[in-house]
Parts: sequence; C-alpha cells; structure tokens
Amino acid sequence: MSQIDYRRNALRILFILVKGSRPAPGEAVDGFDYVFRGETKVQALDFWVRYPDYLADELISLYERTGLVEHLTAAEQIFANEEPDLRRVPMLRLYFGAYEPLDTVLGYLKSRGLILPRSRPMETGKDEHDFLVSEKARELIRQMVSKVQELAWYDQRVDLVLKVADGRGGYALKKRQHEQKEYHDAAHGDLIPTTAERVRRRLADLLGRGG
Amino acid sequence: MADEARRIDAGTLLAEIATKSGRPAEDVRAALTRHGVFFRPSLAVPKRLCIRSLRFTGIKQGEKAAGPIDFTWNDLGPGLWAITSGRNLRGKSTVLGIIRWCLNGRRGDAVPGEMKEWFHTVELGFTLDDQGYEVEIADAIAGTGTLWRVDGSTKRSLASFASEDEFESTMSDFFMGQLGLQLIVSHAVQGDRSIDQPHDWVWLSGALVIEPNPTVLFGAVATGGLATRMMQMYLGVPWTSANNDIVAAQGRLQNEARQTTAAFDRTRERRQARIKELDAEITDLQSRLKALPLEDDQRAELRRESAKFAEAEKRRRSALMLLASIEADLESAKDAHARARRDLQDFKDSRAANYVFRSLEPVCCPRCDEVFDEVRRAETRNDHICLVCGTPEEPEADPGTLEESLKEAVADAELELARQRQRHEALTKTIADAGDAMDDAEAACRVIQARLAAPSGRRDVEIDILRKQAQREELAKEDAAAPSPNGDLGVLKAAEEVTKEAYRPLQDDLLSEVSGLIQDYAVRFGVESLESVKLLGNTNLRLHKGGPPVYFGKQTAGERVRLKVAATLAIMKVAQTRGLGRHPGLLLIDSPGANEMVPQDFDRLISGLAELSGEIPHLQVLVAAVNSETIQNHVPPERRRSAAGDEYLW
Repeated sequence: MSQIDYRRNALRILFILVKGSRPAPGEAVDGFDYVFRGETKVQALDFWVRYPDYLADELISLYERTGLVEHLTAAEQIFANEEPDLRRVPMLRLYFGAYEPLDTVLGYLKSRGLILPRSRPMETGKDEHDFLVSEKARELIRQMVSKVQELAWYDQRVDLVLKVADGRGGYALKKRQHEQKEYHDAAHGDLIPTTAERVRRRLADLLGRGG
Repeated sequence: MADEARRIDAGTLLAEIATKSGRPAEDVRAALTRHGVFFRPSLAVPKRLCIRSLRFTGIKQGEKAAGPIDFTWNDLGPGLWAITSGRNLRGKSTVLGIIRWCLNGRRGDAVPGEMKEWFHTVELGFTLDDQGYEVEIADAIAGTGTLWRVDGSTKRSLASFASEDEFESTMSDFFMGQLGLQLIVSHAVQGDRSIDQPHDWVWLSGALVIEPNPTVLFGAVATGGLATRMMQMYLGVPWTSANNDIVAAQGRLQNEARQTTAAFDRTRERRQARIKELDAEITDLQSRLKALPLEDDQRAELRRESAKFAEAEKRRRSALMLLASIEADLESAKDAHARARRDLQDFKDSRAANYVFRSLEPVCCPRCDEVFDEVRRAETRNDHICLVCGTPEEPEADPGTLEESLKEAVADAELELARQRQRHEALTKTIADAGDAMDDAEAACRVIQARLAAPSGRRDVEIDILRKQAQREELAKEDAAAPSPNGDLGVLKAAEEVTKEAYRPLQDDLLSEVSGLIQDYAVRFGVESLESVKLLGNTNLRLHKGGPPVYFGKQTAGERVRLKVAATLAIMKVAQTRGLGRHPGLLLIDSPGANEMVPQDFDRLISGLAELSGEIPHLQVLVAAVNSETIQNHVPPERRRSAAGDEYLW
C-alpha cells in the first residue's frame, strides 16, 4: 500500500471533521450547518488517530494527571489490539510538526457535498481554514458506521482522540505533541518515528509488569 | 653284665641322648641340668650296718609297771637276734622302734605317742663296715643330741642336733652319704599344682623293716613307683637315680603344659569372641571408608565440574553471539508480520472507504465548485467515464483476490514469526540453560573445594582400621600360637629311653637272679608249693603255685611277711655276690607271729633266717616275737633279750 490511499485518508478526515464539528454560528450555507475550525487542529487530531502509540502515551499522562483508570484502560487496550503496529499510518514531519496536505482529500469530500472548506482571514494576516460540514456528511457517517463494520474503529477512535484533545485548539495540541521527544526530534521531511516500545514500557511499569 | 653296665659312662649316655633327641650335646646337658637331672656314676661300694649296742633311760609312767627305765643291750653283732616276751605288749616292738628312731632321727609310729615323755636318753651304737658310730639322744623329749664317730675309746662328734627335725636331717645326711644313696624326688599333681616330693633316708630306711602285715614288697609306701625306686637303689642298678629324675622332670613339664594349655583354652574363647568383634568392626569401618570420598576422586570431580562450567560458558557465549542476529531476525519477522497485517488492515479500511465513496456520486467539481447537471451525469454514465475528470472507468479489480493474497501474506508472516520466535526461544533457553549449568557447576565446584579444604575423616578411619587389624592379627597370632610342648620334653624323653636301655639289661639280669633266690628262700621259709617266682621290674611278685599266676598282694599276711623277707634277703645276697647293691644288711622283723602265721610256718621262717644268717655273713636280723620254742631252738640265749611270763622287757 505504498501508494497513498486518498479515499481512506478522506474517510478518516471526514470522521474527524464530522465528529469534531459544532453547529455553525450565523447564516448557514446550503445544507452545511456544522463547522470544524482550524486545519492545524485537523492535523493534530489526525496525528493521534494515525499514531496510536502517541495517543496511548497521552492517555497514560492523562491517567497520571487525573487518576482516572479509564485512560489507563484505554491505553492498555491500544497495545492489546496491537494498534501501534496495525493502525499506524505514518506522517511526515514538516515545519510545524506532523503535516499532510489535505487538498486531495478535501477534493474528495467537497465533490461529494460533504465538506466545504472555507478560508477566514485572521488578524495576523494569515488565513484560518475552517471546514463546513453538511448534514449529508453527518448522516453518511451515521449510516456507514452501522453498515460497515470496519468503520466502527474510526468512529470510536475519533471520539477518543477528541476526548483526549478536550476542546483544545490546534496550536495547543501541536505544542503538546511537540513535547514528545521523538515527534519533536524527527528530521524535517522524515516520517515521524514510532514510540511504541517506550510507551509500552511506561505502561508496563505503571501496571507493575516487567518489560 | 655288671661290667658291661659299668662301661657305660655319663658322657656316652649324653651323646646317645643328643643323637636320639637330635639336639646338640651342650643343649642336652643344659636341658638336663635345668631339670635337675644328673648322671652320676654312683656305684658306691655297699656298706654293712650292724647294731652294736642299745641303751635307753627314762621313767615309765602310767598305772602299770611305772618306774625308772634303764635298758641296756650290749655286744650285738651280725646274725639272728631275738627280742621276746611271754606276752604281747611287753615292749618288744618299742625296742625295734627305738632302734629305727635312732637310725632315721624320726620317732614315728614305732614309739607310741603316749610314751613320748617316758624316754630321757637313748644311745645306739652301730658300725658301718668296721667303723663305729654312736647316736646319742641327750634329751629325748627336746630331740637334742649328737652323732658320734667312735674309734676305739675315742669319740668324735660328727654332728649335733637341737631338734627333732635337725636330728632327722642329721641322720639322713649321714646315711645317704655313707651308703651312697640318692635322694629320690617324685613328682605329683595335686589339684592343678605340681608338687615335687623328696624322699630321703626316712623313706629308704623302710627297707630295713619287715612289719607284721606288709602291703608292699619293698619299703612301706606303695605309691608312685617308689617301691620300684627303692628296689632299684638297693639292687644297685646304675642310672636309676637319673632315670627317676628324668621321669619326675617329665611329670613337671607335662603338668606345666597341661596347665598352660588349660589357661590357653580358657582365654581362647574370649580371644575368638574379640576377633569376631574386631572383624565386624573392621568390616563396618571399611564400608564407612568406602562411603567417604577419595581426594583424588574429588579432584577428578572438580576437574569434571570445571570442564562442565567451561563448556556451558562456551555454549552461552556462542548463543549470546548468535542472539543479536536472531533477535534481528525476530524483529524483522515481527515487522513483516505487522506489515502484512497492517496491509490487510489497510486493505479492509480502503475497501470500506471505497464502499463509502463509491456510493456517493460527485455533486460538484472540487476545483471550481461547478455543480454537475443531469445531462453530464447521463453522458458520463453512458460513456463510462468519470463525471469529474472524464477518465474512463476501469472495471473494479476483484477485491476478493487481493484480500486472499493479503491474508496469505499475513499467514506466511505469522509462520515466519513463529519460526523466529521458536528460534529465539530456543536460543534464549539455551542461554538460560547454559547459565543454569554454569551456576550448577560453579556451586558443585564450591562444594567440592570446601570438602577438599576440610579434613575428610578418611585418615582417621584408615588409622582406626589399621589399629584394629593389628589388634586382630596379634590376637590371631596368639590364638595360633597354642602353647607348644616344652622343647626339653623331647630331650627328657630321649634321656629316659637311653637311660632305660642303659640299665635295663643289668636290671633284668639282676631281677632274674633275685627271683631265683626269692623262690629258694621263700621255700625255705615255708611257702609251700611254690613252683616259680618272678620279681617284676615294677616290684610286683608273680608266683606260680600250680595254677594261674598269683601275685604278692593277694597272699595271706603270713605269706607276705615271708615273701618280703625272702625278697629283701635275696637282694642283699645278690648285692653281696655282685658287689653292687646298697642295702646295709640290717633287718628289723616285728612280731611275725602276731599274724595268722601258723607256728610251723613261723618255725620255718626263724630257722631259715638262722640258716641264712650263716650264708650272708654280714646280715644282722633282729626279730621281735612272742617267746616260743622256735626262738629258743634257733636263737641261742645270748642272742636273745627276753621277758618271761608277764614281765616287761624294760
């Protein structure tokens, strides 16, 4: 599968955008009544979906911070399902961290009337990209999850990632992700390396098991 | 024959004993000396004893005939003399008893105990050949006195005695020396004690007495071959003294050997029990020793364990060297497995995505947002081209085939992973096992080294075994060394045989001659129907009286008296003719008429004695008897001391 599977990426992004969207304030545009704000946040959330090991690490930190066992259980589950091996979809390290151009993917989604990208000028002079989400998209996700078994994972995973993100904005998430040494130290243009072994050890230590 | 006997000297005998016993002559001499056996050529010239005078004084006590005693009998000489009384118990036997007392120094039965205080002084004059002597008991109660040598009117003291014992030994020394007699030692065993009994003059002088009821032919004692010895001595058979000593010495040695053997047997049981005990202890110790490790074995074991350690270490090292590459292989297999599964997962995801997107017709151009109208939709559908970009649609590849191949790849990767895991596990196990083996070998080495450093206890057990073996050996040796008979016994046995050979021919010759004389005299003394007499070497007298042979002991007392007198006289006669024997020629015959002898037989004895007194010139016979016609007929009055009627002799 060396060839980029745009449809799969599109589907994943669709899940992130649909589930991470909120009703759009103000005037609705032709059936696009929800909005997901900020491409950086999409990239940050996508990174956690694509790197279950980093997500598990974050879950462990969350557990350590909050004492909530569900985080630890979720992290354990990730390793039990060998997700760091099976579900990892490597990302490139670019200037600001993990990044993958979304143009093609968004083309897929836009052409199907699911997502409508919008640029919004910022005070800084840069454009902020938002994504309008159609009701059709929300309906599609609902239907497909019940129809296609494979999609349940995306549904749940995106929920989990959103929960971990806890409403933080794209930059806050990036900052958080840069705190991971492996993420931060990855050379520009390289694939971000896995931290599976380190996190596995960290988890085992917490659970009181060797190695 | 006598000459022949004389020719054999002591040296010749010793040489013969040496040859017979197979021992050097000096050994033989030493052995014989050790046991008191001496070969002395003791063929002394016989001396004749003759009582010349008797005097005793004292005071007779008691109710009958009490009063002073003063008995004197002078001018006695060779020939037949009689002491007679009208009745018995008038002092006849006492006169003979006093003579014997003076001669052997022992008062004995001859002078009854109740008369002990009666006699105060006693003097007995006698001659040995022509030499005069006198025994003077100055104090008969205390037993003091003197033995005098009398030369004419001169008396010289030979010995004085101050007690009865001294008196006895004085007389014994005197007569043994003068008559050339030898002390006879007999050996007896009483209980388990070995006892040597010396027999000297008191015993030998028994041959001078004929008691009324004799039981043996010579002397008065019937035991231990003493009669034989007495006979041999008076016959003058040479070497008999030595022979006697040899027999006594053998008796002593045999008794010693018996006692030693008995003592040995008593201890043997204890010794063998101890040997058994020691055997068991040794066996036990040996099995303990076997169980104890040998130092060499331990060193070998240490080497083995060290080699095991080295081998395990080598195994571990090479496994460790291999580990990196196997781990790498395993990682690769894991990666490949993960990749295959990821591919499968990707495929499934992709298929789902395809499903999703295929179901969604594009509604607008993603680039320009132009919404596609129905016409375009219909055209592109009919033309089988993409609604958006016009690219001809390609038939969908069969996703089933792809999934299968992906699943196969997963299965292959799984197999490979399992294989690599197995390899890895095997290697890990090898490393762990080698590590365990190293630990085990190291622990074993430590144990052996500690054991080697500590004293093994082997040495103690070995020493214990050696000590017990030595004890056992010692006991076994002791047990094996049953007391061997004294080597001198062989010499003594040879000596006895040689000595017997040396004197036997002469003794046989003498006995034969004596036997003839006994027969002659016995017949003359009135022993009727005596066809032949044989005096045996053991002094038994075998008689033929017209029937099976009869022996001395079975004869009547009267016959025994006559046979005994005949035998004694026969010996004296042979001694006289041969110049050999040592009987001094004095005979004291006590009351022959007191036994069952009929007057006729008594007459024959007395007449015979009177007759023989003439034939044996030096013979002096003193007969104590009740006064009778026979005495009066054969003994002239001057040769008689008589008490008539109820009178006492003293």
